[in-house]
Amino acid sequence: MSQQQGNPTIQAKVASEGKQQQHEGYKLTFEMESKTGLTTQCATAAAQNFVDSFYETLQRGKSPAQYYASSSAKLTTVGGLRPDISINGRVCGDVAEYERLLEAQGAPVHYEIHSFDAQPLNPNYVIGLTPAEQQQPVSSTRERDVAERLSFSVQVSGAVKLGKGEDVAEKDFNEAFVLVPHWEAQGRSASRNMRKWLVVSQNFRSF
Amino acid sequence: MAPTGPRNGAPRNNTRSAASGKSATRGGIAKRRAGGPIRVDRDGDLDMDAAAANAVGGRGKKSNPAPAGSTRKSTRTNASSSRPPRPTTKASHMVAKTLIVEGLQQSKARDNEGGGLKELLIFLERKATTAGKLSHSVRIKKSQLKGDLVYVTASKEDAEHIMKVNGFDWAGTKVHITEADDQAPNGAEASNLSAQTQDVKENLRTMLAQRYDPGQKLLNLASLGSDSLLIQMNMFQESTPQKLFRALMVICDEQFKTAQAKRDAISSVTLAGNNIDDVGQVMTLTETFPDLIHLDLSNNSIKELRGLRKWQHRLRKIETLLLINNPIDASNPSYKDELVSWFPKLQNLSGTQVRTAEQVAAAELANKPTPIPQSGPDFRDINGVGEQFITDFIRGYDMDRPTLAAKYYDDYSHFSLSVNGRSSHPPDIPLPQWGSYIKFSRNHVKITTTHARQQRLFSGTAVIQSVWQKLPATRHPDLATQFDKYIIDCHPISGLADLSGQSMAGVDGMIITFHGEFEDQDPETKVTTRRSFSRTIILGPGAPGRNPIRVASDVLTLKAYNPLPPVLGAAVANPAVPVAPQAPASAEEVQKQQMLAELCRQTGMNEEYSRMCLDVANWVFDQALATFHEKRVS
Repeated sequence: MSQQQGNPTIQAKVASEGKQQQHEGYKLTFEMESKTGLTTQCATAAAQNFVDSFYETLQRGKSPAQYYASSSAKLTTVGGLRPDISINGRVCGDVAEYERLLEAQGAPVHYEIHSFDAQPLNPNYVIGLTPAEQQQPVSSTRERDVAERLSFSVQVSGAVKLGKGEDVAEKDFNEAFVLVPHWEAQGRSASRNMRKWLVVSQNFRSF
Repeated sequence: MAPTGPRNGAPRNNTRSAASGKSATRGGIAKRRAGGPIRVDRDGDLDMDAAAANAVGGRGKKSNPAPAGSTRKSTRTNASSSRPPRPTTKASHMVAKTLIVEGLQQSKARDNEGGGLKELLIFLERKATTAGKLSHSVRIKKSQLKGDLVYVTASKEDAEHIMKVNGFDWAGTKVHITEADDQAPNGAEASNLSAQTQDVKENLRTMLAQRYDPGQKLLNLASLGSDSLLIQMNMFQESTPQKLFRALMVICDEQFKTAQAKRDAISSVTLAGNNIDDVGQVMTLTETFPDLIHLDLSNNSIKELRGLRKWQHRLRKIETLLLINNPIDASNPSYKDELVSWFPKLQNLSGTQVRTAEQVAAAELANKPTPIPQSGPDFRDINGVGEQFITDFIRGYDMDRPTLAAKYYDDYSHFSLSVNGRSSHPPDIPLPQWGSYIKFSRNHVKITTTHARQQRLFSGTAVIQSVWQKLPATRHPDLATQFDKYIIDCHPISGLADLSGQSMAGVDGMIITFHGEFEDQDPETKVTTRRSFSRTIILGPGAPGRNPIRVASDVLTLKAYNPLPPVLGAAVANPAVPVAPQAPASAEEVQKQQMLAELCRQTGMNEEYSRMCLDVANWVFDQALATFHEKRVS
């Protein structure tokens, strides 16, 4: 599987599509197989971008609302999704409640990222798309197309530093996310400021 | 100008010309001359002044009796009190270096008014700056004429640049610069001087003592210009008010061994009636008394906020600030709002209450960050699937990894691990070795190339089995009996790939994130190490013909051992945020709660007794009920 390197092997895998497609019941699986190299690459890059900017947003005390599935009409109305946010064991009903927790936490706050890791989850995530849109085939050989329907998981490990000077309280934390495509951010007419992936699941724990 | 007071309240130019009229021929070193009245030095030679002069970074050049009509412009003219404070007197003293400059006596400048010293110093500073192509200006901190030689003191760095001027032509001669062995020349004159210094110092100390009110912790420095002792000492002719003030602050500083002692002794200072138009003139006040609580600046000449700006980020504890009868009242009526915003604890501004003590306390509390409180496990299981899996997983990972991988992992499952080598750990525990793990670590902070990131993602049963085999054997605490060593959260998730290919929209599953510890044994060294971990596993329905539950994604993070905080039953009430209803820790716990409630209801006992009863009966409800009836009968 993914241990082989980059694109050359992907071509080989695509060439073998025909054979695998005949395998009954696994209609999607060959797709996953053939995409793995690219999906990994994609998930990894998207996770990097997410981690870099998400914690920066929190540090600046800005609203993180744009990072969540609740900012996509397609995900919420067509897909019926609601981000599941669990913070130190407390389930937040919505992003606003999470923001209240952040506000209560106060400032200055600094997140130090010690490690993070990401894995592709579903290469053909379609929640939020209409049935017609779901049927449209997506190329599995171009990175841009692979990215369009990819969901992925991220786990971050680091430290939260609260306060400044001698008063700094430091706590380690672990945070796990699942991100899915932001449909409104795709296509030529989409605003470039939108996040390309949105959080549907978040689990934070400080130690 | 600073403390000139109403009587000597003439504009500072007058003050200066009065002084210069008397000492127009003096250079910066004139006070070294024997005889004459006791003087407060202008170039920092006196001990008592040196610290303050250094602390402000100025050389007191403003006080130099510049020859009438002199139009010299150099960096030195504005090198005075507006500079930021230097670190500490001692530190700056240690890095200072003294040079000996020869050539003044042979130069044409010797006949200048003031003996040419000033011109020589300007020359040295300018040439050193340009010769070194420096972005900052070289500054001579101290100068002294002794015989034919001029001693100049500058920072070590600047002194090196000044050395480059050695051999330059100046005023018809060559300047010759050598390094002095000593900080400054010493000899009879110096000791004589220090006796004079002691005298001045003693007088000033007496004056301060007279003006100190220990009952009110008040240092009254009002109307210094009309202070009879200072007038008697001739201070206003021999020194500038600014330097006098600095000297006073140094003497104050010397009275206290610690900052706390200073705080305990003096909480209020009045500088009323000193003709101050810019607090830069009394800048050292905030260095000597940074924790001042009450300050009276009434009856001064502050016209604009600019005159107070230098203290905008100081006096963080000031509660009372009196600015009564300053021109700013008329010239800028809205200055009060801004002042209130500068000083977070200010409550009384010129007699008006601008904040209450409660408001100050509330603002402080609101500004103090507090960690997000811990709650118990957020375990939103579906039909016990999560509980069943986690039990099976932990046992299998310790005992039989190949079977575990074959049961839950398929060709589309991913596993990866990351070593977080920077997590905190108890100080008494040595940092663990990561040798067995580091070659597999996919920590994206360290592993940044696409290739390596792809290499270290392990997918498919066989690959995962082979990696797991290479990882050290582990022993996790028993989940059932040592549940406090785990934090396990889980919740449902949608949109996972359907391996049966039936549902286009994907299938539902569950995401479990759990934290805990394990012991491992290095296969080669046999060393046992305890580590902490966090692991996120995403579960979905298994492929047709396989185990009904599969692992889609398994992300493991390893850390140095650090015990988890207690979260069981630790739901901290936070009034600001309503606590969401918590799912119980396990099905067993739910059952116990139900039994407890039922027993309470049937017997009318309180919860504590019911629990005891159930404990005795090993949580067999009927038996507990029977015990209750027995006890009641007896």
